[in-house]
Amino acid sequence: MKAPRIRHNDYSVLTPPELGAWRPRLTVSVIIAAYGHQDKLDLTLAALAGQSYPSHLLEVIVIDDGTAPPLRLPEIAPERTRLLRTEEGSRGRANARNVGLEVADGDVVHWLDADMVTHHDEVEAHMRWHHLAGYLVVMGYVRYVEEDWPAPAEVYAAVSAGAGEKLFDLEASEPHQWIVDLAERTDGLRAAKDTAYRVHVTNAASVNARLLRETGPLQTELVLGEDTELGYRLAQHGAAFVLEPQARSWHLGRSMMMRDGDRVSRYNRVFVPDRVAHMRWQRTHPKRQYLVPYVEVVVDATGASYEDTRATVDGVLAGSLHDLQVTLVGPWSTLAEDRRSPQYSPNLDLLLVHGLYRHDGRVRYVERLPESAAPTPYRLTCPPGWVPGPDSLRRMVALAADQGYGLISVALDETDVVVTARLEHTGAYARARLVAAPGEPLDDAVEDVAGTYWVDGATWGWLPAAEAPEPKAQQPARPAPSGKPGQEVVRLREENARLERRIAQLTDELERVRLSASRPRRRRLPFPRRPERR
Amino acid sequence: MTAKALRPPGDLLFVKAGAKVAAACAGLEDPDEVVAALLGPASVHAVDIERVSAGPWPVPDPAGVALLARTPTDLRRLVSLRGALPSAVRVMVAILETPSWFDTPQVVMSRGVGQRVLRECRVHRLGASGWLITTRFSKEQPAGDVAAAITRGMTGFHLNAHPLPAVALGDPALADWWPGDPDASCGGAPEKSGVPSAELGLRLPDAEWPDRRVPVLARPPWEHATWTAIGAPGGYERLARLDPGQVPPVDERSVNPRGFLRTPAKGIGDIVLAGGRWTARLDGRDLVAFPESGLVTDTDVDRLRRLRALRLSWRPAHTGPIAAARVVAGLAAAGVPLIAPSPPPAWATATLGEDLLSLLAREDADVADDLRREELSVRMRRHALRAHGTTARWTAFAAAAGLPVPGPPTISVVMCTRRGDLVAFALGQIARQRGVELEVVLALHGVPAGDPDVAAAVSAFDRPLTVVEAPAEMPFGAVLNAAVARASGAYVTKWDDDDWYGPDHLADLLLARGYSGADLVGAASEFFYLEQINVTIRRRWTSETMSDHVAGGTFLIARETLAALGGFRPIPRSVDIELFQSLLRAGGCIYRTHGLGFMARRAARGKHTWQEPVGYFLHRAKDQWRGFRPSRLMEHRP
Repeated sequence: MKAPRIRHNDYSVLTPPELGAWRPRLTVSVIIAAYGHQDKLDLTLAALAGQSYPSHLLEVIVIDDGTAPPLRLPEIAPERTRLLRTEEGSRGRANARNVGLEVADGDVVHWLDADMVTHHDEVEAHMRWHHLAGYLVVMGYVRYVEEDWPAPAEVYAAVSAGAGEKLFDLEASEPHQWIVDLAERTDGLRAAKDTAYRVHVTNAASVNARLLRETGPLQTELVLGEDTELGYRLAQHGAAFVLEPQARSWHLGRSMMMRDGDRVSRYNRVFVPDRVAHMRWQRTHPKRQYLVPYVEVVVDATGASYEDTRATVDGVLAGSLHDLQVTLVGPWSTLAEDRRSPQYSPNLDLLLVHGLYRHDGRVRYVERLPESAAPTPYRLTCPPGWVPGPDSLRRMVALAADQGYGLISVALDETDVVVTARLEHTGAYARARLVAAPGEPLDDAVEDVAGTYWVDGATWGWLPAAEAPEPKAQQPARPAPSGKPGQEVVRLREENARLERRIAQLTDELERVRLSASRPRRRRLPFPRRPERR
Repeated sequence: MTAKALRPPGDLLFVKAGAKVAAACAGLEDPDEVVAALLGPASVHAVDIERVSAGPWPVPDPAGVALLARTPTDLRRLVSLRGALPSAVRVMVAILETPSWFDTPQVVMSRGVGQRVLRECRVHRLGASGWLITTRFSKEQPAGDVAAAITRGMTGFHLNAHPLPAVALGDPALADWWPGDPDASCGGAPEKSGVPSAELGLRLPDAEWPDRRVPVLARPPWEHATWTAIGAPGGYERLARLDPGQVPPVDERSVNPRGFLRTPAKGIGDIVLAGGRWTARLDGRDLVAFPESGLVTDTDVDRLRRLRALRLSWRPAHTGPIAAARVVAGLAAAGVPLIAPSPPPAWATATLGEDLLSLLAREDADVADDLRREELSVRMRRHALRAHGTTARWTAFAAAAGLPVPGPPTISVVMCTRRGDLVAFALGQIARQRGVELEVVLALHGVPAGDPDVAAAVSAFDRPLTVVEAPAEMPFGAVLNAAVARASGAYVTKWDDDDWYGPDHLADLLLARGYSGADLVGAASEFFYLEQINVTIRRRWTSETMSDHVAGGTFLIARETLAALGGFRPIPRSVDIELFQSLLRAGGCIYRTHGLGFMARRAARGKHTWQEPVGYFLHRAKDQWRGFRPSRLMEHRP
């Protein structure tokens, strides 16, 4: 089957089958991290036992994150349910889920919280999408209830009878409001482009397991917001995000965000944007650096002169887009310095390049460039000897983000081939690698999943090294004139008089030059030039 | 237009107060207001063109004649009534509204005859877009000659004629069938000299046609085909006999694609029925109310140019089926994109033809993309001009009457190449040209005719072909001249060996020459395939306009005109731009038609005459697409 090509996040190309009217074949591992609350866990498992999804394709992994006394598996639970326990010293929500991920063998991983009561077709609604494409994240619709909850047997009876909606009062429950709003604004995420990753919320999301393993597990350094961060990394590995209103579940009690929103946000604003480069609204500082930069600029120094590489890297580092990292590619470990006459060392240009930036926090040296820039969302590959203008990079990335381009190629010069700088969108290239047919040029697949665009280097401020001005520290702003305004007038008058004298001097000089140049010479007739061919 | 906007300049004295003036009006919504504003103190006898009788004018010996037209198209209707309009020493011509591209009018009478007795000629601006021309002659002149002199200056034609048999109109009410020709005789009475006044006549259904020597057709005035007339006894029979030949033709010299906007600023308008007439409406504002007769004028088309499209529901249909069909044919010929969501009724299929109707858009989405919209427009205009233009209609009439009609002119395609390996490709592009008679003059520039690639390509080509060999060191312009010297067609067109051409490229150029009247026509140089980076771009040229240049590989010029200019300059490069310059300086004009049927190839530098780098094209691109992406009109099959 040819992999479907979702453009940006517009999953309209996929048409899922009607619930109850299709034949599933993929397996799913439901991973539930739990701490305390045996009573809620009993309900979660009772509801999972009543799923319409075939039980031989469904496994459940419960991870007890250190409850005392330990949690146990209740009587009503899916056939294939396992209970694991985290070790002392490695606890926390992210770690518990990673433990589950390690043992899960489903084709799809379905994160679920230990206080969720799913409707009978919740898992089926997730899975009908995963059968259509191998790079999806699906998010369900959760409603938060605060009523007293029923017994596990009642939950099982209602869910398995397809009456999960009757367990609680819909009117009294609260929706996951920001997801509802986001869906409203973005046509159910179809128009969400680079912000869709935010719906990877581990209380009710499911992910293709192969994509998840490629992306890596949850970041255990993050105590909160780890699911958002993983969602972001999944996007850099090509994920598309689907909102499925039919994947319904009840959440027992209100969420931490509902109870304590301001404090949680204050906490998250520190730790999450450092790793999530697309949070531009959080990264507004003009000069700061972050753990995950917005753009990786790759310059392959192999075979280039020191001066060319330096001009390019200096130009990049002087640009108005500060949130970037420069990756210099070269055979750095094999460079040998002549300790007596270092100026005659072999590979001297590379030695100089290696020495020049080694203490610059924004420059790193690699020998082999990884295929993907992930988790960095953009990669600019720049031939040494070509220098972007102060604003070129910022404008190019803004264009790419605005139009969703997966590739912007900059035509710099041409001989028999066109010399090109390339700005690549990491997520678009990752998806292109997932969907490209054997032998198909990757750029062609990128054209389908994100779009490609060419710009003219000169128009976009690029210059060859020989013409590019050397970056200079900005002149500090002139201090405000001190003293009375009268003194300033006197100062300016003096300056005026000085400039007038200088003009007189230069006019004299010009006259002399003119006289010496006016030797008899053939005069040009004032014929207009013929117009250029258009 | 209000009377205030119509006020003529203060120092205008056309005739003395109280002097008799005969006025003929065409297309005016309120003739009295116009007459009062322009001819206030005179004693005016005004008639509308549709009420003029062929007999002697009711005002004998007028001091002046005034021809008052709403639009240039209306003025062209008056021209054909030359025979019915009086003569005077003072003639005034007013055009109240002109299209935005309209040139300042000029009076170009016959040299040494009418022009020699022209003593005074004034041209004034009238309102926002109108013109008022007043003339005084030393000798009485037919007012129709002045109107003809002005319409002649409106387009590119030096000769304001049709290559068709001479036409006689039995009644002034039939002027719309044959607009813009002062040579049409009016009245149908036999010439006393014994020489028939025409080869083909058109009369009203019940009118006499005394000249038995002249074959004649009958057509009713539009009033006979209104819905009310059809509802009357015997009317239904008329409805059953409808065919395209019943629809007055589109005056393609004034109603044509000129002024088309490829990026419309406004949305989709609607054609609605208001006050019994079809009216083009956008966002609740009426832009154009089409006259009862269904006449579409150049000025009205110009008002609709900013619309993305016009949506058309067939019912209720204007004043009558023929008038409604006439509106649709006129708009289609002008290239106004039309959307018809509902299937056409029987009368529309009968009058417009299924071919044209099948080209109309079905839904708004069909015109949402600018390029798709322009493709739609080009297809519609091609078909409507060929099926409903004046030349087409009368060619059909003449053929039906057994009169000889001129065949299509031959085009000599002059192609100069330095690369034998490209000849097969280029001849393949020429071989698929349709709707034209052509011959090829292949100039081999430093390539021997015996080159196996060339020989194979030439023998596979099944239209007339002449090979000219030129030494490699001969300048390009000289090679072209050597090739033109061997050409025998009425027209010469230049062909690039490595560019792509749509199958209607030459037919479109001939069509554009017909409606623009320009001495040289060519395509806009919009599409480029940048071979090195596999990208197609589209540049921002305006098309369907008079201009000072066209794409070098696309222009078409009369062989005689090319010879009059001394051919190409014998230089190695820039021969095209030099030719354009000398044509403009010699008083000729250049028309640039749409660029959808041409795609220039931009290969690696040094192999092509274009020297600009790839970035030059990227910078000037309005659109770009990955891959080889010609317009659909190119009918490219990979």
